[in-house]
Amino acid sequence: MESQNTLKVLLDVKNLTTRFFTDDGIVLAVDNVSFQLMEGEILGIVGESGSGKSVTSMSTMRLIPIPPGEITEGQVLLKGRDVLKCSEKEMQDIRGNEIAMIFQEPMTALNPVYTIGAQIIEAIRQHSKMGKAKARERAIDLLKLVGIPAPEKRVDDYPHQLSGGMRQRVIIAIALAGNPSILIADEPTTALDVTIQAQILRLIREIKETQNKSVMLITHDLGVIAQTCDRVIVMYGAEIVEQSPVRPLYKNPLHPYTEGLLSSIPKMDEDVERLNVIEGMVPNPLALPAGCRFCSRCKKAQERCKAEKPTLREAAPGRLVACHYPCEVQTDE
Amino acid sequence: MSEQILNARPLLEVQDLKVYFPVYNKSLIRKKIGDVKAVDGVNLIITKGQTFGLVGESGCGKSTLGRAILRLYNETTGRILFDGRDITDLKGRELLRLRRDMQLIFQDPYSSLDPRMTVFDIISEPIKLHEKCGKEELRKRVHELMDVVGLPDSMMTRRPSEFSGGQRQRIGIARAIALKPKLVICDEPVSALDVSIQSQILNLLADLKKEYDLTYLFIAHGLAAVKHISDDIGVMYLGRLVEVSPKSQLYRNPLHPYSQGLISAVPEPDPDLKKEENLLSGEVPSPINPPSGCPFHPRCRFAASCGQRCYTERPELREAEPGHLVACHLFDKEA
Amino acid sequence: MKTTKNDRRYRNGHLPWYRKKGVPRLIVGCILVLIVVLMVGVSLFWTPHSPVSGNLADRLVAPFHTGKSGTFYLLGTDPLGRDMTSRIMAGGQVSVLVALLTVALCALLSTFLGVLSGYYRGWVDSVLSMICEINISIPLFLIVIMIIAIFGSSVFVLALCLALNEWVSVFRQTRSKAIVQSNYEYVTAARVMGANNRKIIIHHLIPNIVPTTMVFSTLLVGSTIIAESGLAYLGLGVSKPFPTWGRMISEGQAYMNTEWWVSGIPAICIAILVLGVNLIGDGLRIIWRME
Repeated sequence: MESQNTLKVLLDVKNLTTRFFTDDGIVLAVDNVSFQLMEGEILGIVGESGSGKSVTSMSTMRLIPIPPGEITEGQVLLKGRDVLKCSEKEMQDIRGNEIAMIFQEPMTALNPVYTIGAQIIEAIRQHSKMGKAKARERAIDLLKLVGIPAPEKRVDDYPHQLSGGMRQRVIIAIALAGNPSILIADEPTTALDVTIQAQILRLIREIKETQNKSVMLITHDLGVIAQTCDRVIVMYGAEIVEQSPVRPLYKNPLHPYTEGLLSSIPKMDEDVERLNVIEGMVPNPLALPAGCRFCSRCKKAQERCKAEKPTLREAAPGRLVACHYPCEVQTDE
Repeated sequence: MSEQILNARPLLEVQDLKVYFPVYNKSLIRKKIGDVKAVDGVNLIITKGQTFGLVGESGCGKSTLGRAILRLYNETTGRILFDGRDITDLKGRELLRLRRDMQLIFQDPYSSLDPRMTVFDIISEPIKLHEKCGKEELRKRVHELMDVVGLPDSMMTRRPSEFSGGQRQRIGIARAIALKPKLVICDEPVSALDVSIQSQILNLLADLKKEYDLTYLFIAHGLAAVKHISDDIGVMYLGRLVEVSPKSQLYRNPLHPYSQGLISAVPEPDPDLKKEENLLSGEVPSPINPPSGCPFHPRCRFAASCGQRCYTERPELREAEPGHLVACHLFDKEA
Repeated sequence: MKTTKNDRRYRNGHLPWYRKKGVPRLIVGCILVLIVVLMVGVSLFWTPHSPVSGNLADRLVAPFHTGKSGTFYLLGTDPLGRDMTSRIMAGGQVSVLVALLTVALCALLSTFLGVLSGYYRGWVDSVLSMICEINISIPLFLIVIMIIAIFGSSVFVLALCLALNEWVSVFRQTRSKAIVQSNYEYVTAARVMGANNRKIIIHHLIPNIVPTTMVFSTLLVGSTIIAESGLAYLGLGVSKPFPTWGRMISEGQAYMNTEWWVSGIPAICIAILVLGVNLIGDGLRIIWRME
């Protein structure tokens, strides 16, 4: 993890801002978000509903619906090339070939009238001029890669013949079809049971290792992040509030929100009478407060927090936090 | 714990409960072609004041079991004893009286509240159904209930669409405890909520239990939440209880191979705790055609070495250690 | 946990009704319908001339012209010298009454049966759905003509016949809405609380289905008026000499090329009413966010 600085930056997101112009007003869904995705890492983005984590990932692929959405500011540099300035035709090339997406809902992400083989072959041939027979072979290889037993037979199955976990594997296979360097997984396991979730997460880690992919994993589950990711971004109220390698984040969270979140989830290995809670609820994205967006729920909030918005700054090497009064950095190596 | 179970009076006793939903073919003349064995022979005792947690993956029948206890299905066989009384065949007025004592908290805070009713209407509905109550008193009681669950009074005339998920869940909870029931079945009450709201609701449920002397049947797939709130935990697989145990024992020393797999699959919010040696393979088979013998044998890592019994004979729930029941042939010798 | 007004709107996901996009339609629709209803309402007490007898000297006077007898006719006269303004006003009585009655009958019938069908499912649903299929597959208009031929054509018989002809389209909507609503957990919650089927239907299902009924029923007003006009055109409307818009069109067809107003003006009136009611239905649909 220490060698991260020397790693190649694959995706460099700078000051990304996405707004939704709705009947009810302008929703600031992503506010001035900057981060980098390195080669061969799993970057977790964690946040609650409405925190902007999904819109961030969708914006990097330019998949948000326009209108009502609009990326109003920022740059998304994919290997040095600004994705936001590409034409729609160039985008089609980038999607699948450079960045691919794994969706949350394994039931609806597959087309029920085609066999899974046909859908993988279509994805393969979209991006390369491969013959049909060859593409089918590659499809079987991909199914094998994602751990589907007897792929030679399964390739001719229809989606409804597969279980939820198997479908999610097929979706991963489709995502891998164009041999992209970046996979974006948006809540890939939320619809699945824990035992299947563990299998899928293991698969994602394996793919990262063996295929040398970079993965952006979006989830609301801090457990999933801890078990899967190398680096984490915590989002709250459309902003990044903390960014850190995984281990220090869990041992020594810096932002009061991260700290509160970690202490409020019940843990398997300890018994407590009462859980710690973060009082209140997430701010309204139509009317975000002027100061720190967490300050109405924060135990440490001072007058300054209400008035002045904290900026993301480096608190320790590799660790960023947006808070006027962050928790102390512990250095126990 | 086990002594407590022996001494305390059981509030709910379920004996060999089965819920089979018939499956029909799709032709013009309907013909039954099988059953979905949603609950397939469950025995369960919940003592007064206890919180019994029920965990399992989707489709294991945990929600169906909860609703069958509430007498919401006609397809139920077996016996349900509530407070010493057989409630399996109650009808009409008797069933209505039972409704006072048993309530349900739902998973989905959106669909479980009638969108066209105000908060006052929703919370007062159970009171109006069971008691003759003057307008002023009704208002007072709704006011109290809102106070207890932490909803500001000013929201009484608003409709559910104006609330967040957590607040809606509080409304549902107020409705459930309005008649001071003896047993509350919590059907995944926090699964649909945001992480920071989940702990608020879990604490609220714990407070209410003390204040109203409630007994909970807490159904969830989130193991950590179940473990936090429960005294005893039952693990369900394919319509059957495979393990019942006090929570500390279950987490420290799970006996059934399925429980072991389930617990090790939970992603811990701690990067140093990586425990994967028991990762379960495969997925839950169809409850229309459950595997022969032990329903877990196709996924069990011991089945191959265990001999023929796992494939042919269904293991019964037996006491393997004091207070710790398990349905697995691995532990038959000790019994 | 302070909730600002803004916050409420967000949670709500709705605007106050007057800020929604359907509002202009609703307003225009209401104005159009109001004009027609006022006109018809006034005719109950007063019309400028008699709608049933005319002055033969003033035959086929064009709108905004004075007849030979020196009377000014705002909308002209028909071939028998009757004042078109009065006939339009009085003729609306039958058209509007039949339309409203028909739609009300449709709404009642389809709400009630739709809820029964969607809530109980099983054989109730099968039987009702079967009736619908039959209703659609045989040309009911012929049967309507038969009924009218036998029982005569009072406003009520007419409304009943038209309702029989049209309730199916609303019923299908209410039924599917009732199925969706019955599967929502608030229905289970009501059962757990001890509410019986009757209470669940009255307190929970019907209030949630009424918007659907209203929107789809208003869409029926247009086709009802047109169907009534059709029947009147065929001579099956309410008995002569009392005018209805439909019969006025039919009577005027011989003069279409030269004296357009005889059938043109009632046609415009029908168009205005249908447009108005459809705009109301459409506006409500948008405001209630139904697709």
